Amino acid sequence: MNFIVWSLIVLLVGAVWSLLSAGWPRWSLAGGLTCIAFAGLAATSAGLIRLIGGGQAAHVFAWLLPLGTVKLAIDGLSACFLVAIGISSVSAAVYSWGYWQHEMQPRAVCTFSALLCVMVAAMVLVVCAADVVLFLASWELMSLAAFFLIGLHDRDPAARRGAWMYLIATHLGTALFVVPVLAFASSHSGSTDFESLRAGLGSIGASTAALLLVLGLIGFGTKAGFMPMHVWLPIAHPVAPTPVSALLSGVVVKTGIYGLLRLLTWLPTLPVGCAVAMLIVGAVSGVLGVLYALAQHDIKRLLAYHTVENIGIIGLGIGMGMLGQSTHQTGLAALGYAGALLHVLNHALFKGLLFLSGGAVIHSTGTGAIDRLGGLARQTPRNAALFLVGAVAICGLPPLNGFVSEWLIYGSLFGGALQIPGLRAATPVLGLVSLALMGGLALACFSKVFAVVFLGEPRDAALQTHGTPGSMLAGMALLALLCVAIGVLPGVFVPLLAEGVGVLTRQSSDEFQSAIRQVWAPATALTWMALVLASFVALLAIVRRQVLGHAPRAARVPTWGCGYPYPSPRMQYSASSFAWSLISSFRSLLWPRKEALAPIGPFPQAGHLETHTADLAEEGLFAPLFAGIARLFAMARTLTWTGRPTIAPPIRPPPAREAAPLRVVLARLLAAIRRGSIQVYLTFMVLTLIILFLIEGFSSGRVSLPANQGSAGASPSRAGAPPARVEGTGP
Amino acid sequence: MQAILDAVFMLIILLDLAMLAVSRLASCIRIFAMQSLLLALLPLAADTLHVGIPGRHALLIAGVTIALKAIFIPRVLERIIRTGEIHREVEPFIGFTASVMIGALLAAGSFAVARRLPLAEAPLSDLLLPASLSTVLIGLLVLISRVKAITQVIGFLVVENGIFIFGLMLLPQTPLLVELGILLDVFVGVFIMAIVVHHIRREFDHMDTHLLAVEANSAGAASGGEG
Amino acid sequence: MSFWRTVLAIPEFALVLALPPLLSSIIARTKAWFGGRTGPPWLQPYFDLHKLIRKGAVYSRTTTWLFRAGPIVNLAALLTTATLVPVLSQHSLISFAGDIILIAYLLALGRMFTVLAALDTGSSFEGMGAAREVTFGTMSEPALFLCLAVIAIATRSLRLSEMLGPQLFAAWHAVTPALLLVVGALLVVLLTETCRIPVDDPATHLELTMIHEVMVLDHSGPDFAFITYAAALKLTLLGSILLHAALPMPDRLAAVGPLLRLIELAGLALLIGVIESMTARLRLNHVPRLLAGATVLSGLATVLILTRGHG
Repeated sequence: MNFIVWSLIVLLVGAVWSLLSAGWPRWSLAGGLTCIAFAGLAATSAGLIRLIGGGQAAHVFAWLLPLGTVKLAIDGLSACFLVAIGISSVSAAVYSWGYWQHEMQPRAVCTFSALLCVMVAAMVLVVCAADVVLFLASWELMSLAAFFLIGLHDRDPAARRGAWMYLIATHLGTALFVVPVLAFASSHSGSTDFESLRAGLGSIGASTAALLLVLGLIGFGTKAGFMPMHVWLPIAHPVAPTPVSALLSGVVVKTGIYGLLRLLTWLPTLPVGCAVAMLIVGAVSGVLGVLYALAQHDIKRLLAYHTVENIGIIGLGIGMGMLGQSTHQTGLAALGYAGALLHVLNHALFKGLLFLSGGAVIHSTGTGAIDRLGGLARQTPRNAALFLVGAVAICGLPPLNGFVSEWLIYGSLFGGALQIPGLRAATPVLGLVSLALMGGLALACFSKVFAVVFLGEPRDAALQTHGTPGSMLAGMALLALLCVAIGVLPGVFVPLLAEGVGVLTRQSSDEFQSAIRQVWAPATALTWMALVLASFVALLAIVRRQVLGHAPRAARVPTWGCGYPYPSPRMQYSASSFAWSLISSFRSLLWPRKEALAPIGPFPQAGHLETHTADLAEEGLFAPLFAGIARLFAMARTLTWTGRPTIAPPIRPPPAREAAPLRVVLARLLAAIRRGSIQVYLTFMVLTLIILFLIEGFSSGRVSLPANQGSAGASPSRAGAPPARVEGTGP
Repeated sequence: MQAILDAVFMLIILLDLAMLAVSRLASCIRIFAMQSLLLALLPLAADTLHVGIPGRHALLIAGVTIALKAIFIPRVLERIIRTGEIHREVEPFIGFTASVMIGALLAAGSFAVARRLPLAEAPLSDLLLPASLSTVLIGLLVLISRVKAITQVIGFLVVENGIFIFGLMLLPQTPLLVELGILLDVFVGVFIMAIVVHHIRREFDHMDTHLLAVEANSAGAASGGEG
Repeated sequence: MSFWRTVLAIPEFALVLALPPLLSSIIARTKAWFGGRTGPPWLQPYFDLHKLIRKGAVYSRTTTWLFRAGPIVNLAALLTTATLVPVLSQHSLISFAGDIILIAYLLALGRMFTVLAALDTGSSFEGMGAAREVTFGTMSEPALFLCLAVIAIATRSLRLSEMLGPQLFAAWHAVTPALLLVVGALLVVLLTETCRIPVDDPATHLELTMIHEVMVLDHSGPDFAFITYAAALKLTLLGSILLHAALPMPDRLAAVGPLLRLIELAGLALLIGVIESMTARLRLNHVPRLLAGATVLSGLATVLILTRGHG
């Protein structure tokens, strides 16, 4: 516990120092970053100590906030998040030193370093707060710090847009959903203390609990980036300075997950429907997130969409945990929550690594447009290797850490398919399929990014490349090392999650272990398999070296162009073309737009090809929604139906947007109705039929449930059928 | 025996899905014929399961079904395709893969619903009700999602097949006359549709209901312009 | 019993590793027979491997270390998979609850490195092959996992050796239609993953239509030997999963099991040869339809087994 207090104090000192020494940017940065690094170490140690089973639980300061008290406490759940926050902050701090070297502007640097201190401190406070008011205050502080950090390059309109988008999204989520939930909880239990919330909410009914969970899911889910509340994420994350992007995607979004899990610890046992809803939200976020990622052309935006995907995977884990709790399958609950918590940490590690590495690409070439890059593996080999580690880890491939957490979640899903009776098991199976699909799509996506950015020949000869500074590499190497460590030694790390899972399921550490063992193998099995894999790789490498030793020296030739003698770097397969076959296969989900001007005729003019995939939730849902609200306000302000002031000169109309897919579908449907297409009439008839049928089927099913059981028990009715049959056909 | 019956019902569902997947009209018709053949065998199987030997009632139903739906109607439809000089592809509104997926969802849905429906007595097989429901639903899907008049005829016939399966449950109670009457209705329906399709072709040189709408639209637009 | 199993497991593993080129040979001979030719000698694939191993390698100037790592990691991943899959007897070398996931992801690891090695050359043809490989690989994944789920539910186990063992034999009686669908879907997955004919043509040398072969255009010498062997090994492993699922053995046949499995593997190779000789490769844009079909089959199997309420 003391570690936490120390880390907060150190961060405060760092922030003050960065501001005071604003005249000397190098000193300001160095001081701030050192403080963050030490504070990160302290937070990690605090978390680890708690996970190993030591440490003191709570810390109350004799300082009253309005309505609440300053009470800090670390339980297993906070500890898991603390570790992720601590490690990410350390590596971001180390990385930032090299990152700012080439542009030491005093204003940007000292603001950056001070705000980063504040943001890390706020995150630590969020996960350690044990009081509603303190939680909300630090939550707000974190959002504000992140807002200013995203908009650090405020001359850039994209950065301003991203920052505002972030602020609006996070405040809508907080004000409309999180605050009401917490207010209800504390008013219901009569105290703002987290401990008493659990006791106070224990008595509420199932439907109230479900309502609270849904509100919490929307509110915290906005922070975490579940679909369709994710729209701010791919806009805000890419425009921030790279270390901030890494922290935002790695840990700030995880505070949303933390909030959701914290809410779950207070609620009594939820109905199965809640778990199913959570699983569906997770599956949709995951699959659509990775599909959108696949369609991106900018490296940081792509990584931001992958955050949505990984939040979806975490959602699947949480959903299975909830399902396990609702159906009283301890093994499923343990595996699901353990997978989710481990994926929180893992995602912080590999997504941090990938953002830092992608930032290093932008740092050394000046662009993040994937299709302009190429061949960086020969110019920045270390960065390429680090990116590869992150890519293999995020695809969930053995033997790295992503596999371990997905393996646990798979265990829960498979266990659910086996242990939950009847058609209810369809949800875990659906989760299983979506997770498998995500795995395949992530593989496609990261093959694309890695290959197009780092392999082949440089596509744009105009780009100047310079190397990556050592401290940036060091920050990434720390994360890469941990990715490998967790992947190879899961037997060490998975048992540590027992404390965190225990907060949710109220299991002891031993119960956790045995619950897992009922369903799934202990994680040590993966260590052995990693060893087998590594020894096979070593063996084959030695064989290859031995064999090639006899052979004449390998020749270096140009790539075989299948008979075409003059290939140019611009003829390489591009990222868009690599992804197109998958994108077009999923076109009914993504609505990609393709504009092509093919060169035709004997003397062709220049042709061009452009593909673009807009975010459906943004264009189809939120843009019209907010446009409508804006119009409503304008109407109220001007007291007209058009929303245009009558006296003032007419406002220039906004640039025409291309109609969003949902609108296109609606328009086509309306046109078809107007035209009187027979198929549309048939569709409506059939839909009516099906709906009537469903209503009838489900209501009668519920009414005659006892009768149904009766007929199942009274199988003589079947045995009695044949005689009747004989009588019927006799004559 | 039960396993074979289950397999037959499964095959019927698979044929429904295959109907959504194929792109040639001729294959569509062949699939329908195959499905009808399987259906025709079901009353026989039901009797065998219950009594031991197929009764007269069942034999007659099977014979008429085979003659009508497995042989005669497919012949008529094939003839229309051959003589009607239709472009021999299905032309869906919804893509093939997408419609197969929707069809699979409908099938899965009918499995879910079928479990909840209260039945007076246990059916021939657990798969009877889902097979019947999904055949009806997929028939409706074919009806909705395909452009040509002839595919709509096929869709209608598939819906009828689904209802036939449903009727298997009532086989012992239904008088023979009613069933034959239904079959006759189908026959007349197809007959009329064949004539209508033929006339559409005569009038517009095409068999695309889609084009009919375009025609109407352009006529309306033209008159609107004059007005 | 368990002692003998341990002792016999090592020679069995060696036999499994020696087998794959023979299967390629059976396929080649079958296709030759259909074409009215004699075909290569039975041991030709072994000779080819030997020849490739002895040759030197040629590398493109564009490539990096990944190009050389690709075949090694791919083969190592498959060799690791081989320790987890029961091929001849009912038992694999290593087995634990959850090994099914590891198998699927090891195959994916091999795929990722093959794809990266292909893209490392900067050739647009190999890029094309790689894009197709990841597309079809991704689309076959849901079918594979649904099949695994159905078998897991049918046998109430999550350990591959048990899932494909005597329990499955008992389950076949209870849920025949579902398992029939699973076998159909698994066959499609097998043909896709091993780049066989309705999906990919391993014999053609027209760069624009190939998937696997076009990805490895630039590899030569020992690297190519690794790739060729890895492809045959993948066929053997996935083929045995299919065979164990389609023809599970009761305990009483355990003594002659390995011999039967050998014959069955030969039969599978024959079947693939026949499929390759009788059918044409699908148009590339029709392959997703085939894979969607496999997914639908396995999805229906899942619905069937869940509504059947087996257990």
